[in-house]
Formats: sequence, C-alpha cells, structure tokens
Amino acid sequence: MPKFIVVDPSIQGYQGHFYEYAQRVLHAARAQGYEPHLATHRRFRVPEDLPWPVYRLYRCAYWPTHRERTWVLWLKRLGTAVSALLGVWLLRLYFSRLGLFLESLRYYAVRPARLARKLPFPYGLLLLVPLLPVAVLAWPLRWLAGKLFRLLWRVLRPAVRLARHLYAYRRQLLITLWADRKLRDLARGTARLLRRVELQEGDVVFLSLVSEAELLGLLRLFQRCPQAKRATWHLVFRHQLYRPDQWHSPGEEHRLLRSALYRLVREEAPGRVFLYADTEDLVQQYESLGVAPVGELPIPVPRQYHRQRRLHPGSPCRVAYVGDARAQKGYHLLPRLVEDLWPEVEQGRVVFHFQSNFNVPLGSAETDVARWQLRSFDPRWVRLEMAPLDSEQYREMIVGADVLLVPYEPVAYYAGSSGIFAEALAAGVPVVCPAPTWMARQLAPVQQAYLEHLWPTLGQGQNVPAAQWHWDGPEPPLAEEGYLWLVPGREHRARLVCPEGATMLGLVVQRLEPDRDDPVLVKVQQRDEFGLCVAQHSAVLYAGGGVQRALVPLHPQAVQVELHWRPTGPWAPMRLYGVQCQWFSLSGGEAIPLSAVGVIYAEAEEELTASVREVLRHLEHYKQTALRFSGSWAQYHNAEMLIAQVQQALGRREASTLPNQPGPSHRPDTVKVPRAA
Amino acid sequence: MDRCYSIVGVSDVTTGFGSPEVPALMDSLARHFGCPALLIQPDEISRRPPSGPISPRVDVEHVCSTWETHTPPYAIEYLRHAAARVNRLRPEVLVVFSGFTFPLLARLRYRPRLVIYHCYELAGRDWRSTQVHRLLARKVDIITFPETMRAVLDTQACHFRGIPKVILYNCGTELTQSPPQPVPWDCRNGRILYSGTISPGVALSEYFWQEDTARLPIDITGRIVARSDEQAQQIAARLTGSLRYFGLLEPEQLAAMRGRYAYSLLMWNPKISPNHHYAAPNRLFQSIQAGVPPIAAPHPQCREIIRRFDCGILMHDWSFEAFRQALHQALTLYGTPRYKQLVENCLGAARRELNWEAQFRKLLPLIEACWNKESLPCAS
Repeated sequence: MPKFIVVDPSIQGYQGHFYEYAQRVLHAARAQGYEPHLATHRRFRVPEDLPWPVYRLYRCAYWPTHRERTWVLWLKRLGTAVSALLGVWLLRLYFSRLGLFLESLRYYAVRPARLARKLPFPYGLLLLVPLLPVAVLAWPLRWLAGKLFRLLWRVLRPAVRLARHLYAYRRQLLITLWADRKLRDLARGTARLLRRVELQEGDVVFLSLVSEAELLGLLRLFQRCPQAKRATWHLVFRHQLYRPDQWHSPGEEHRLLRSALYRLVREEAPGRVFLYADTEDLVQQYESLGVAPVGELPIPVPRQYHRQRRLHPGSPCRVAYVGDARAQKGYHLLPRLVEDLWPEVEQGRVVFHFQSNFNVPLGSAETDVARWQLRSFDPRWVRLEMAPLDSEQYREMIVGADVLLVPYEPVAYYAGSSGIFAEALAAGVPVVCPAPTWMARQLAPVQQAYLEHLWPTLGQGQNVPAAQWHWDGPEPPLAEEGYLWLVPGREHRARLVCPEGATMLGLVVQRLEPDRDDPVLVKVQQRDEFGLCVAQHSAVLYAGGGVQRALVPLHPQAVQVELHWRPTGPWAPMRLYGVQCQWFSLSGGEAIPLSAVGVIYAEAEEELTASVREVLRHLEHYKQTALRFSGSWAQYHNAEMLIAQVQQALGRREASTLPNQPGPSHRPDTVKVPRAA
Repeated sequence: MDRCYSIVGVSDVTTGFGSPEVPALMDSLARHFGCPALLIQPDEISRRPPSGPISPRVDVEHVCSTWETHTPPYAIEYLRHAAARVNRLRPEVLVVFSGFTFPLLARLRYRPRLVIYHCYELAGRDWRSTQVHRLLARKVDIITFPETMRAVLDTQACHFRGIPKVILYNCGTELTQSPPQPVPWDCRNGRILYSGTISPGVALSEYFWQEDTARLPIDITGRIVARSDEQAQQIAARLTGSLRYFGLLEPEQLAAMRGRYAYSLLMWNPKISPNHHYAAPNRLFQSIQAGVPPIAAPHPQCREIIRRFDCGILMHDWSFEAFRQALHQALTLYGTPRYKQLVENCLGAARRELNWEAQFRKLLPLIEACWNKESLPCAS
C-alpha cells in the first residue's frame, strides 16, 4: 500500500489550522487507499486514539515560537528583576530629599539669583559661599574626566559602531539565523523520518506549508539521502510573493526562492517535486517565477461542515468571529462594531460570539486593547472565548453563527486563502469580508449572478452614461473611444445629481480590461443638500467576469452622489467599457438585498457596520443563498478533491475512479442564485 | 487625627479649570463604594485654590509649593507630599491621574487593594516617561484611557499588555456646575464658538485671520499662547471683522454661554504630537451635552463620535480649505430641519452614552473583577 506522509513541523498542539488540515488530508488519503503517516514538531502530544503513526521529529515550526529555553527565560527574568529593582531605587532616590536638592541645584544652576531669592537672607549667600571652592575645583576635574572619556571612546568606538549596526539590523539577522536553523532542522528531521519509514515508489510526501527555508532544507535532504527521491514530494505555498500594488514579476527579493526552486525542481529531483498553491492568485504569483507549473489545491473542508448551519428560530442573530485574535485578522475592529450595533443588541436582535485567544502571549497592543474593550460589554450579549478551541468547539462556533465576520486586512490576505471563510461557506453561513481579498474574489461571481437575475425586475431605470457625469479635476478619465481610463494610485471622482423620486442607484460596467484579478473599487458617497455625507457604500468590480453591476440604496436625504473610482493593483491603467449608472424608482418601502451569500466592503471603518446591518436586514435571504451556494462550494473544497488533485498531478487519476465526485478540475461555478423574494 | 479615607486620588491639575473627569471619577468611586474620598491636587499658580469640597463625597487637599509650576523640583516636592499622605492614610483604592503623578507608585510602602491609573495624556511621550511607566506598570490594576489609539500606543510603548484597561470618553462635567440646560435649536445666536488655546501652528489658529474667515460669525475665548506679550497682543488684534475675542473666561461663564451657540469648533494640528492627532477633547463632549453640534477636524475620536451619532460636521482634513468648507456648510445648514436633527442627535447621544454615568459603568465590571465586593473600612 503506498504511503501518504504529511510533514508539518508547525503541528505542536491543536491551536491553529495545522493539525486540523493534516488530519483531514490524512483521513481522505486513507479513504483513497493510502497508508497515512504524520510527521510533526517534537512538542506535539499524540492523542491516544490517532489511527496513524506520528513521528515527532522537528524542533522548528514554520514561524518562530515564543517558547524559549528555560535557562534563557530565567536569565531574562533575572535581568528584568535586577533592572527593575535598580530602576525603582533610582526613582525613589530621585523623588527623595536628596533628589529634590540635586534637582533644584541643576534647575537653578544658571539662575543663582533665583535660588538665592528662594532662601531668606543671609542663608542664600551662606549657601553660595561654600559652593565657590567646589566650582573652582570642578573645572580641572571635569577637564580630566573629559580627556579620559575621549580616550576610552576612541578605543571602544569601532566595537560600539559595530554593535549599533548589528542592533539596527537585528531583525534581519534574526530572520536569517532562524531560516538557517529551520532548513537544517527540516533536513535532519526528515532524514530521521526516512530512517524510520522506508520510502518506495508511489509514496507521497506532502508538505502543507513551504517557503524558501523548506526548499533549501529539502535540497540538502536530497543531496544527503538520495533514497528520498523514490517518493514524490508535494509542496504547498500559502503566502503572497507580491504586494497588492506590485506587478507579478520577480524582483531581487525573490532570487533566493527562485534559485532554490530551480535547483530542487529542475536539477536535483526533476519529476519528483510538485508545486501547489491553494488560491488562483497564489498560483499565478508562484508561476510568475517561471520555474515550474503550480497546481491549485482546494481547501480540505470536512464533510461535517457541509450544510450544517444551525438554525435558531426566535433567537437573536448570532454574529461570530472565529480564529485567533490578531490585528491582521481585524480583531481590533470588533469593539467599534459592537458599539455601533448596540441599539440592535438592546432590541434583542443581535448577540456576538467572538473567539478571543491570542496566538502570541499577551497579544499585540491593538488586540490587547480591543479584547479589554470587548470584556467591558455584558457577557450575555458579547461572549468571548478566551482559550483556544478544540475541533468540536471550533466547528460548533462556525455552524452556530448566523453571520460570520472575516474582517481581514486586505494587504495581508489579498491572495492568500482563509480556511475559516471556506468552512463557513461550506456550512451555508453568510459572511462579511473586505475587498480586495481572495474572499471577495470568491463571493464576487455569486454577487454578480444574483444582480444579473435581479436587474430586470428593477424596472426601467434612467440611464446616464459616464460621459455625462461631472468629473472632478482638469482631466476627466474619459478616452476618446468612450471608455474610462483609470490610473492606479489615483482616485477619479464623478458627481451625479439624484433625480427626483430615485430610490436606488445601479452601476453597470460592460467590460473591464485588462483581465486582472485586482478589482476596481467604487466608493459611493451620498450627500445631502448641505454637502454632508449621509451614506457610503462600496462596489467591487472584477475584470473577466462579464458585465459587472452594483446596486446602492439611496438615502432619503441624498441629493447628490459622488463616485470615487479607484483601481487596485499595480501600475498599468484599467479600461472600463460601457460604464453607466441607472436610477431606479421603486415603490416606497421596498428593501432589496444588495448581494447574496455575503457582503463585501472596502473600507472597514466606514462600511463594516453597514455591511453587517445589510445582512441582518435581509438575514433570511442571505441564509438561503448561502445554503444553496454551499453545495457547489463544498463539492470542490474538500479533502477528497485535494487527494484527487494530487493524484492527477501524478498522472494516476482516472475520471471514474471515485464515485460521486466531480472532475478534478471542477471549480465552484457561478451559481445561478434565484432572485430575491 | 486624620479623617479616614478609603479612596484617595492624586491629581496633576487643580480641579475646576478643565479635566472634569478627575473630580467626576472620584465622586463616582465614592458613590460606588459608599465612602468619602480625598483628592490631593497641586497648586497651579494660574488657577485658584478651591474654596470648598468639590462634592459632598469628595474632599480636596490642595498642596501649596514655593517652586514654579510643573518644574522638576515642583513635581518632586508635590509627589513626596502626596506619597507621604497616601502612606499615612493607606487607602484601599488609589487613583493616579496622568503620567505626572505616576511615579508616586514607587514611593508607596504598601499595596493598595485597587490602583486605578487614569492615563489621559500619552504615557510614552518621551524616553524617560516610557521607562518610568514600564518600571511601575505592574503596580497598576486598571488603566483608563480617553481614546483608543492612545491606549494602543501606550500599551505598546509602556508594556501595558495584560493589564485590564477601559476606554472612558472625557464626558465628565464639573461637579460644582449644574448640568447644561439645552437651548432650543431655533433660539440659538447663529454663531460658532471656539473655546480653547489660541496658538498658531498648534491649534491652527492662523485660520482665524484669513480673509475668508474674518467674515464668519465666530466667537473666540481662551488663552493666547505666544512668545511674548507683544506677540499675544498682535494675535488678539488680528481677530477682527466678524470674529469676536472674549479673552479668558471662567469655566462657569463658558458653560453658561455655550448652549446659546449654533456650533462649537474643535481642531488641533495633528503633526505636533500623537496627543494632538489622537485628541480626546472634553469640549467635544461638553458641546454635545449642551446640544451644540461640533464642527471638528477629523481627529479619529471626533470622526468616530460624529459619524456614529450623526451629531456634527466633520472636516475632510486639516487644511484651510476643509476648515472653510465645513464652516460654510454649517452656516448654510443652520436653522433648517437638518440642523434640528443634529441638535436632537447630540442630546440623544448625550442621554444614551456620552455622559459620565454611562462611561463610569464601563469601568464597573473591571472594578468588580479586581475586587471581592467587601465593603471598605470607612464606608458610611
């Protein structure tokens, strides 16, 4: 029986997605006829009922841990205690009578007359007289001390400069040292694994999180243990190579990665190493290195999530945040959201359930402050989970939510995936997420499909093409050929006057070019007759998705609308064809859901609360559409499909091998979402 | 024989001239624990000593000094006196106001049952202050901040992580003053009130002597900060046209006249310091409580409050153009139903959340958590 070995040095416990991911993959591999094995960090405590062997081999996880050796900790504590004692003693000295005397001398040293005035005559004079010999003697002493100090400085200066230089670059140095340690640990640990598990042809070794250090570690392993090449090695990349505003073109900062890949994939082990990423965007990024093709893997969401959303009829709507409390994941936005939605809480319509354990001791400053703010709310309405969740609790929290918040920072997650997002969609839970991110990219086609079906029901709108808008600035972004020419890094603003009776604004763009993954964000600000902003929404438009639409409800006091067009992504301009807006006058009181499955926002501070309110207002619609979407989503994102993709890469996959499985290249389709009721 | 006080606060300012949250917090604590409190405060030469207790529950001890205000010897003498007093009284609850009095904790000879640090200025503003705060942070049980980003910056710089903290808006009102009586929205004088420091560059006061501004109905009161008296006179002389400068008013006078104004103006130059950028102005909340919509520069807290409650006008940025535009918008809006809505939103916000009682309630869960609900020895 061929073996399927998951190697993940980051598995130290149950916290984080690492262990869950490995478990799901191995279960699916076993179902496909593989013999599962798991290689983890040495700190991992193996549960008794685990059905496969576990090898605790590694000392270095993917990220540096904050657990230091005991003697280092004791030294640090001793140092801290000594410096604290010394510091407090100095402070007490400063705030003593002696300190007052010295400070007064220092403060009035250039104002002897003032000092003398403070004391009654002749005491002031009597104080100054004994100080005269001190002042006379002090000058040569000071000269001597200065000489000695300058001599000492001349000797020590090179060492001090070197130390300062090293200190200034300490972070880079530490990262380099850490990476070196990690690659040696991976090579050593995996060599030990190979001594315990003999690899044969057909075996699969799966590394679920890989960077340069891991590639170099594998290179070292292959050089020292050629028998490793009997198996095939499947490496998954999860981290972005480029910033959102960068071209997908390798720079010098990618040289080490590309060289490592080249040597590994083309020279050392050709045909034995397969590369994957878990999002389309990441696939494109890693393929831009030009070394080897990169496959896309689904996220292994277990079947227990599929359509398992809990119903709570009659209960308040549960708004949940799941995952470590991190600033990168938007945890610091939650107190403000709770405060904004407090009227709904008081009406008994909403409760909050937030996972609130830190991934590092004491958390960061933002998350620490945010957590204390959340703890000040009544725990009946704002429930915090302060400890890491086990698998069952984690799953219950997701499937028990009515709305799941995924307020991640776009810069950190614009190409990377979110397991929590995938699990929520599989369960049929509506989500709220920002753009431009991978999550928004998944929701956008569903949103557009919904709007495409909805549009004809809105009636005949009053069309206003972009050429008739009032554009700010000396150069409106209108090309002669009639398209909008949007330059990245600039915001283009247009104003429109709301016609009498209009209740909704529709935006339509026939086509966006070039075909890129970076969306165009349109901030729609509505202003009243006095120019005050009364409402703000954002539309997210993607190229390559056909006609793009957005729907914005008009505030009753809005008389003017400002459209701020901002292309995200790198430097090349975008062309938007057939841009127009449509004013709809729908009969009073109609409230139409603006999206389906979830809501995408662009500016957290202005729009997160409004996005959650939109879901709450049309909760049944979002729940139903999310449940319908979960079918096709879960068909692709599951561990069985992941194994199928791996097998396909190996060329062993046949179309009819697995019953009831779609083809290996199936992706969640643009689900035809029925129009809203 | 000393009266028994179980709650002692050490203030950095003379009360009654701003920072109303200082006496408000002491009064609320005295009420919560059911026993009298003592507030020790320094002698600031520009402010009168109090003529009596600031409330039935809070006595005041005014510490005189021969040293110049806020000089190092002044600070040392004051803190030595305060520490000696606290060590003699041994209160169960100690409240320390601002980084100026924070080093007091180093001189305590016992550990109070509850130490509250009201950090209403940036603690990590310089190296020395940061080091002092890091040294003594573990002696504090609860830290209160007036603004979220200040809390984040101080938590980062001064190693406050893990210490319970809460954000209390500067909503306190002077205990010696009666609550503001809102003036109906259609009975205002149509003018804009600016009350605060007049300081070119720091408080963006140079906007007042632009030609466009001279035509606007703005009343200005506050201290002129200048290098010399001549310069101060020159600045005062430039406040002409439709601008009226009232000089420095007593807090009671200001509170009495505030409600008659159409708007209140708030702005500081954010580049001066993080304290200025992340401003947490008392005036914002005093205006809202008086039903006077604020016109504010986009300091984060001002932006958050105005947007959440729709109770004022926000400038786009700190430029003169944004200042001018916001004032014109405000004056155009005045007297319309929209203005009435702003006034009502101000009063509604003040009733629901932007009042001291609502803010103090945020602190109660932390106090309960740090306390085992036993009554204090001096409880009446």
